[in-house]
Amino acid sequence: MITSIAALTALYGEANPRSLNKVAHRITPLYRQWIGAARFCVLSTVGPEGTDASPRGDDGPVVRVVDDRTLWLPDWRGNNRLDCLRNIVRDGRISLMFMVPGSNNVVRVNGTARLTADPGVTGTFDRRGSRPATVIMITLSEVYFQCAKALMRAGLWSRDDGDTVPTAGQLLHEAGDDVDPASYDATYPDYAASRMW
Amino acid sequence: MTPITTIAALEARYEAAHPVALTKVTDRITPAYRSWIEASRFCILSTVGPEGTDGTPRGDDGPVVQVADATTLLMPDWQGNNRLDSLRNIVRDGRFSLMFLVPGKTDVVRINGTAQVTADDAFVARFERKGMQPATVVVFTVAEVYFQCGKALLRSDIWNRNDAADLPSAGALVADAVRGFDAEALDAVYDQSLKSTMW
Repeated sequence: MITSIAALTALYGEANPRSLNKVAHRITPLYRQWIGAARFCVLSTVGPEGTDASPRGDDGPVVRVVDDRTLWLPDWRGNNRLDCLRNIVRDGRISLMFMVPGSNNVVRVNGTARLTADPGVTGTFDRRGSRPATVIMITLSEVYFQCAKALMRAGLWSRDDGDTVPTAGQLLHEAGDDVDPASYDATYPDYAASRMW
Repeated sequence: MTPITTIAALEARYEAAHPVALTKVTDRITPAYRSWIEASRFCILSTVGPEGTDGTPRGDDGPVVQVADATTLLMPDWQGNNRLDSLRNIVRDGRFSLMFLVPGKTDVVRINGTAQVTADDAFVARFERKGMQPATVVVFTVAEVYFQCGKALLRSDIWNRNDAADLPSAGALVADAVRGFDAEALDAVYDQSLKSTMW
């Protein structure tokens, strides 16, 4: 096993200089445009129990660009495990990876986050009578984009493999949950649609 | 703005977790999870180190990880930008999270555990293709496996959209941050350069 940075860099050589100098420390106008087009991102956090990666999505921009160092991410209804929120309360370090359907580039943001339930903040996300319980307020330290090899190799935007994997009902049934897989899968879309925000 | 700074203050804002959200967690890769994970060509790897957290995309033209056994996953590290952010993290702090995506599917599968990096021939040779071997292989030891219902994917509808047309190009993004950068020159060679170093 490799247990030191020196052993690791001996295997790889230097980073592509472009990969280092493309890092910006504020949201430039074009990053704002890119992030504004993203309805989906993955939120990475860490806490005493370990790391966590959580999918976040909305039917418009998944985050609001408040200023060139500040992003707000509303916490819409989920499974109430609160893994990433519990992490943020105790350790503010976060990473965001934004994805846009059809684009093989991703935009990545690193920084620190705080959580608030202040109505002056949560109320700015009101929609159809729903209000997020909390809003994650992110202070950006780095923003960069990443070349697309992972998405290109995977053919992510040109495939549909959804029917090849076990369904949620099947996974629950296998885990010992007392559910009928077929009826769980049949009723889930309506259940989710009724509590989407 | 009043920040929430304690777990108690946080929990007061939310109902208890849905029981299914807690009972569905397993500590090993069951047969159904194995078939799910083996259908996935793409995942996001989250790690942490002294410089902070990192979330990196990983993809392949077949399964993005190899399921070695019920608690072990192997991921080859193919050519990237050599920033090595996630590998540097793992060498110093093994904690990781993986989030697997499958195009067309709104569920995601999530795995948490601890990882190591190896360059042992026995590991890298398992992934040889067209005469190439990955420089290293990440060995993941699984602690938790679960799936998540897909509200983030349902809301964003990412499998049915294409919003890429109006995005700024890679060259434009660099030029916006780095004065004097030649955006057109990068964009002209970008796709070809990526394709020639794909593995």
